[in-house]
Parts: sequence; C-alpha cells; structure tokens
Amino acid sequence: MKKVILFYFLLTLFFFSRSIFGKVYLPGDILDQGFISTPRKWKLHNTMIGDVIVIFYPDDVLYNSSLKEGRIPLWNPYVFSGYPVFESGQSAYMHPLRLIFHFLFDPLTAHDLDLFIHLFLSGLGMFLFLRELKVSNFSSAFGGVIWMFNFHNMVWFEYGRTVHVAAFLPFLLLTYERALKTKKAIFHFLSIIFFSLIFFSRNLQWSMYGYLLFFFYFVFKLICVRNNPALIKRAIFLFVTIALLGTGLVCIELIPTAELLFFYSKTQRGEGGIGAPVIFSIREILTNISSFIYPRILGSSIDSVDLKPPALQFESQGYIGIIPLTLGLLSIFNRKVPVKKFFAILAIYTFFLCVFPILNAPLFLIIPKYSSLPAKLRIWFLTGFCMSALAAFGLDELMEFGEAEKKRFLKRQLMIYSVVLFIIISLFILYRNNLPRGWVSLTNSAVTIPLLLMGVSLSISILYIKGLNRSLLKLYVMMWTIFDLLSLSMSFNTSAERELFNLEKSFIKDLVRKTGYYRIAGMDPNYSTIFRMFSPEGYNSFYPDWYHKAINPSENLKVRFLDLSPSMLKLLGVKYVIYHRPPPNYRRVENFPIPLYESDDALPRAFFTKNYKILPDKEIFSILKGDFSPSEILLLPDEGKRYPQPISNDGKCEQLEIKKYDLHEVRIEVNCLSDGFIVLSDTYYPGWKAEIDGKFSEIYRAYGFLRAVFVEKGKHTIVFKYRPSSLLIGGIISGFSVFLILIMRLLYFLNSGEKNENEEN
Amino acid sequence: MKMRKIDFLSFPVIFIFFLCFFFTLLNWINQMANIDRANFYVRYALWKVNYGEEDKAMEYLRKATELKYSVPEAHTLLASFYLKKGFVMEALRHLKKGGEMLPHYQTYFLIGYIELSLGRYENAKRFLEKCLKLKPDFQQAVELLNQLKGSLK
Repeated sequence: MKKVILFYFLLTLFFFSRSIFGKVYLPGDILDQGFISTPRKWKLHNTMIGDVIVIFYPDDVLYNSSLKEGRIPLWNPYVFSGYPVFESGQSAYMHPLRLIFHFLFDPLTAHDLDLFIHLFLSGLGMFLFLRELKVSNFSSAFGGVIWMFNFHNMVWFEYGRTVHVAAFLPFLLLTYERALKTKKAIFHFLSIIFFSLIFFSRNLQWSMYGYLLFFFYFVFKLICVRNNPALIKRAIFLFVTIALLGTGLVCIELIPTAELLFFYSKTQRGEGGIGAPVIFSIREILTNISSFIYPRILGSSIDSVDLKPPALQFESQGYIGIIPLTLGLLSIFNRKVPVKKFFAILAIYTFFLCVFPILNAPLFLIIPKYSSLPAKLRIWFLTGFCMSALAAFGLDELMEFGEAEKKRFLKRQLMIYSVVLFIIISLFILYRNNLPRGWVSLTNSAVTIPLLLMGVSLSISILYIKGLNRSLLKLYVMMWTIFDLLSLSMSFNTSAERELFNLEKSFIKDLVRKTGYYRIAGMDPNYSTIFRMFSPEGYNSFYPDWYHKAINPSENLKVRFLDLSPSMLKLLGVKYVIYHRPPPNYRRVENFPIPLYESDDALPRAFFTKNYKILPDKEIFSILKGDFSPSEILLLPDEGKRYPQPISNDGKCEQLEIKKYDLHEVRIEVNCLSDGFIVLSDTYYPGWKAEIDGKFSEIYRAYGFLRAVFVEKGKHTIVFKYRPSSLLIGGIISGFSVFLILIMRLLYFLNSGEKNENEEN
Repeated sequence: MKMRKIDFLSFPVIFIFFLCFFFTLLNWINQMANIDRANFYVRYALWKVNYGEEDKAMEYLRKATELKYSVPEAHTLLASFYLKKGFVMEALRHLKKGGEMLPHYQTYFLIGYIELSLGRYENAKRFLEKCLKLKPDFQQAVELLNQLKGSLK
C-alpha cells in the first residue's frame, strides 16, 4: 500500500513539476487579453480553458480574501452589478478542502494544492476500488493511472470540475461496497461523506454523472444479491440513507443554487443557446469517435488548427490511451465476470449516448432538466471510468493467458487497430477539403503518435507471444500508458509564471480610488472582481433573468460594455470606461497610462427619486434601451402590487450618503425633504432584506432589475442586508442531516452492543 | 526475475520505439512553442490595430509568418494589410499560404477575386471552385464564378 501511495504521489508530483518550479496550473496568459494590461511576452497556450481565468480565478480571489476576513462570500458586488456568487453552482465555496487551502494559502497555491490532492486521490481511490473488486495490485494501479489522466478528466482539469468528482467517485463506490459486505458503520458514514463531496465539483453536471454511476452500481448490486432478501434490504437501506443524508449535508449549497437556477435567465434557455440540440451527421459521428481514438487527429486547441465542429472541440473527449483502450475493449470480449459485465454495459451505453445523442431520450424522463444540459457529450466521463476499470481487468486477464489465448488476443488487437485505421483514413477523406497541407504526414505528431502507440502495442503483444516475461510486459504497458497520457495531459494543461498574476500596478490603485462607488466597464468580464472595482459586466453560466432581460446582451452568458445602452450606462453609474476608442459622451482622462474615459452623466450608486410609473417589465426594458433619463422618474414593474404613494411630493434629498458598502451589507444615510424612493443601482435579488431605522422595509424591483426602498421625509438610516432564506433553509437541513447521522451512529453503536451481548449469552 | 533471450530482445525494440516517440515529442514541443509565439504576435498585432498602429501590427504579423510553424490567421491578417496598402502580389502570396494552412472558403474567395482582378482567369476559377467546395451556398462566389464562366466562354 505504501508503495502505491508513493507511486501515485510521485506521478502527481511529476505532473505538477511545473508548479514546483514556481509556476501555477492556471492559464495566466489569458489575463493579458483584458484591456487592463498590455500583452507581454507570455504564451497564449490553450484558449479553450479561458473560463478558468475569466470566471473561476476571480471567484477564488474573492473567496480567498473573504475567508481570511473570516467569512464565506455569498454576494459578489463587482460583477453583473451584483451577483449571488455562492449560488452560482460553480463556486464550490463549501468544499472542505478548498475551505482549508484558501484559508491557509494565497489563491494560486490553494488552487494548485486543491488540484494536486484531488488528482492524487483519484488515482488512489480507483486503485482501492479495483482492489476491492479483486483486481491484482499492479492492474489496479494501472487502472488508477488511466482514471487520473484520462483525457476527459484532463481537458477540464484546471477547472477543477472533473477532478473533484473523479477523486471521490471511486471512494464512494468502494465504501458502499465495503459497507454492504462488512456491515461496519464507518464505511456507511464515509460513503455519506464521499457522496456529499461529489456535489462540490464546481459543476452540477459532473456531480450528476457521479450520482448516476452510483445509482447504476446500486442497481447492479441489487441484481447481484437478488437471491438474498437480507442483502437486498441492506443494499436498499444503504443506498437510500447515503443518498438522502448525503444530499441533506450539501443542502447548504444545494438549496441556494436551486434558487438561482429558478431565477436564472429563462430567456437564455428560450433562445435555444443552452439547450440547443446537437445534430450529428456521419462526419460528426466519426469526428466524435476520433476523440476516443486520439484527440488530436483533426487538430486541437493547442495545434495550429482545430477542424472539429465547435460543439465537439472540447466536450467530446473520451480518450483513455491507446493501450488501455485496447485492453479495455478486449476485456469486454473475455471472461464474463458480473462486475465486468456491468462496466462493459455501462461503457457501451455511455459511448453510444455520446455518439448518438438521440439515445439520451430515456434520461430526459428520469432526470429533471437533463434535456436542457449544455453538452450531453460530457457523459464521456462515465465511459472513461468504466473503460479504466475494464482496462485494469484486461491487464489481469492478459497475464493469465495461455498460448492460444495470446494469439487470439493479437488477432483481436489487429482487428481493432484495423478499425481504428479505417476510421482515421475515413476522417481524412471526409475532411480532405479542410485539411491543411502536410497534415497527413509522418512529421505531424498528431498523426505519428497514435501510429507509434499502436505499433508499440502490437510489438509488445508479439513479444509476449514469443515468451516475454510477464513483469517486463507489465512494465512496458504501464510505461507506455504513462508516456501516452502524460504527454497529452501536460501539453493541454497550461501553466503560467506566478509573476503574471501580480496585477498590483500603481495606476490600478489610482483607478480603484478614482472609481469609488461608481462603476467601470470595458475590462474583460469578471476581472473587476480581482481589482475590486464595481462593474455592470459579467460572465457566468447562470445569472438572474431580470438582469439578462434588462441588458439583453449579444452573448447569452456574457454582459459586456457594448451591450449597455447610454441610459443603462447612466442608470448603473458607469462613470469610467476602459476602451480603445472614445465611447459617446465620455472624455479621455488625461495622463493615465491606459485609455480611460470618464462621463459626467453617470448617476451615483444610490439616488433619490420622487415620481414613479408602473409599467410591464417589457416596456421598462425597452424604455431603458432608448433615450431616457432614469433620475427623473422611477419605473416600477407591474406585478399587481400596490406601491406606496408619496404624500409630500415636493422637495429633494438633502443628504444621501453610502456610509458602509460591504459584500453583504450596504448602509445609507439619508435626509429627505419629501417622501420618495431611494434607488440603489445594485441587482435585485430575493436574498436582500432592507431595514429603515431598524424596521423591516420592502425592497422594490426598481427599473425591473435594481433595488429601491420607499422612505418618508426626514432623516433615516437604510440598511440592505444579504440574508438569503435559501441559505438558512439549506443550513437547517444540513444541520438536521448531521443530527440524523449522529443518531444513526448511536443506533449502530447500540445495535453492536446488543449483538455483543447476544453473542456473550 | 529470470531473463530470457526474448526479454533481452525486447529492450532494443522498445528503445527504438522510445526514440521515435521522444523525437516526435520534441518536434511537437517545438511546434507548440512556435504556435504559441505566433499566437502571441497575432494578439499583439491586433492590439496595435486597436490603437491605429498598423505598421507595428504588420511588423508583428510578419514575425509570426516567418516562424517555422505559424498560424493561418497571421498570414490572412497580414494579407489584408498588404491589400489595404496596395501590395496585391504580397497579399496573394500570404493568402495562398494561409489557405494552405487552413483551407477556408473566405480565403479562397478572396484569392479567386484577386486572381480575377489580375486577369488570371483559370487561377480565379480554380480558387472559386475550391471555395464552393467548402461552402456550396456562398452566393458571392457562385455569382462570381458564373460571371467568370460566362466571360471565359
């Protein structure tokens, strides 16, 4: 066991060797794309992993600094004019390991440590699970390596999505299996913990795939123990308690996420972007299969070209290595052990789900919202898991082969490689008009490497038939699999010098001071979080529907400066813009090292308005698109609600000052000469509560998407507090789940005591 | 572990494969480094264009195209600058190079168009046909090709 731990540790360390030499596994080169800095001599290696730096890194910067202040950030005021970051489903702010790392270290170290530990655990977990399934030590270690570095896991590696699930999924299956066999309480509790850890993957889709595999495994176990009623009961009891209590534990993040999902832009979905069906032609089916054979055959994001259709460029990645693929496929045809049958059926099923998406239809009925998932091809994740296990079984079987079986193995291997070559040649013919000159040549590594790997695989098989020592065979198989998978993984995952993340330039400090509570636009969305400057822009998978409708951005998931109308810029207090051309109504700020433009029209963050008009949302948003002066009249949505009518309707607000602006609390002091509304130009969200002089006050949806409260004339202190009920409900359920787990522990304890007594009697 | 003849024989076999893999890998790493650099130059050039420094942009694009492994965008962008400045032959050369690196209907259409304006009808026809192979419903190319065929008759 120690040797295996050391092996996985060294392997992970080797993969992270660039981190040891001062780099960080983040595509920092993409930071240069923003307008805030000039491009330096850094490489822009893999643009496909841009979201890591554009969404996750800024979120982590906020998370890290907030944890050091002793709290978890729930609201990010720096993007989308305010955004419920905790609820985004991509924050994983409650992940225990992330909590520890971000509390102790800087965001970059925490990021790398998080990935390092999870990668290591994914290998170790798979090894232990395979050992539990009676696979030999070496083959289990082999299976672990494939699971760690399978390409689906690796293309999403820096996102932390797949690796978070990959680390705990084998542990969940292992502890479930152990709990079923040994009836020990510890395994039952551990499986509940692993079940809940899978949820914090940073993406609900992969978590769902993890749970789907767990469900399938449970069904498989039921079939296995169908003749033993006691075991059937136990399997069901374990599954139900694990699923219920595990889900209960994560409710603290699940319920708030569900809340945002409920409010997130239905307009986005309606336009078909996110739920658009993927239609495949023969060419696309073969292209999809090619990623299973070798992902670079038709180019990739790190090659000079990528010929695959955009929908397949990143999502369709099922590569597990040429040798593991051979062993896995051959294992399907060999001895029929039940657990192998299970993995084979699931591998084939998920493979066909990817290649023929129409087969996903039954899942639409079982899993809510499954049909609207952006990329159904991500189920390659499960294919990867099953194929890793099958390859380990395959290696074990290969070791036991007699002479005749060895020859049969070679024949089948030749057959598989012929099919592979046929697919490659067909693809080259289908893409003949699109292929760059010289692509199909032995000097092109994208073509040479798979051929070389097939060559070496065949040579090893021939040597084995001729009597090659089994230990050497195992060594060669492991060595070439590592070469194959690591060469791909390391080249796709880009790393950057830490220095690149040091954006603390003197002019940025000046800019932050200058902007104050006003907003700034023109940077790459979400970079404003890094600099702690307020921005109306933002980029994320989910954000409230009303913000999307109000802005109506050209790209569904992104709100950019160019999407904002002049009235909207005014209303949202966008006083500063960084842009290479002067925007209308903005003038250049002299003596500033970057092209910064300033406007005098921007409204302050909080302003007073006396008159209001009630209109349907649609009309409000269309007015905001045109020439409109927001300070003159407040537009309130027609929701069948009665709005307060100002009695003393003349005068203005003598004093209106933001006294405190915090992530979760805004305090404003006002002295108004008449009744009216105080508008805070931050995004409306149900989690916000308002108090005026300590008394609860209703928050109105000003202009259909901002916050406003009604104040009577006189001096008042208005406090906006972010206290989402969803978090409270989620927290209570999670707390209750912990209580139930403790009760269950007690029952286990009492039960074991009773049993001991009975045994003694 | 008892070693047999076949075990010893396996060492050179695996070593030869290893050497091939190693050199392919080296070539790939070199290729990636070149592509990264070319991408950087293109990005820098686009940055300069934003600020109206077209000469600087061309300088960077030229650097990108001179690399052993470049990216098609470098050639097509540079070609567009040459066209703007009236260096048609230079533009054509880079467009052809860009088209070889990444066959694209727009690149072929532009080549066809330039060839046509230079009076090289056969070349123009060849590239317009290539363009239509990639995008059969590209109306501008269809019209131009019909026009060309008419004048060739």
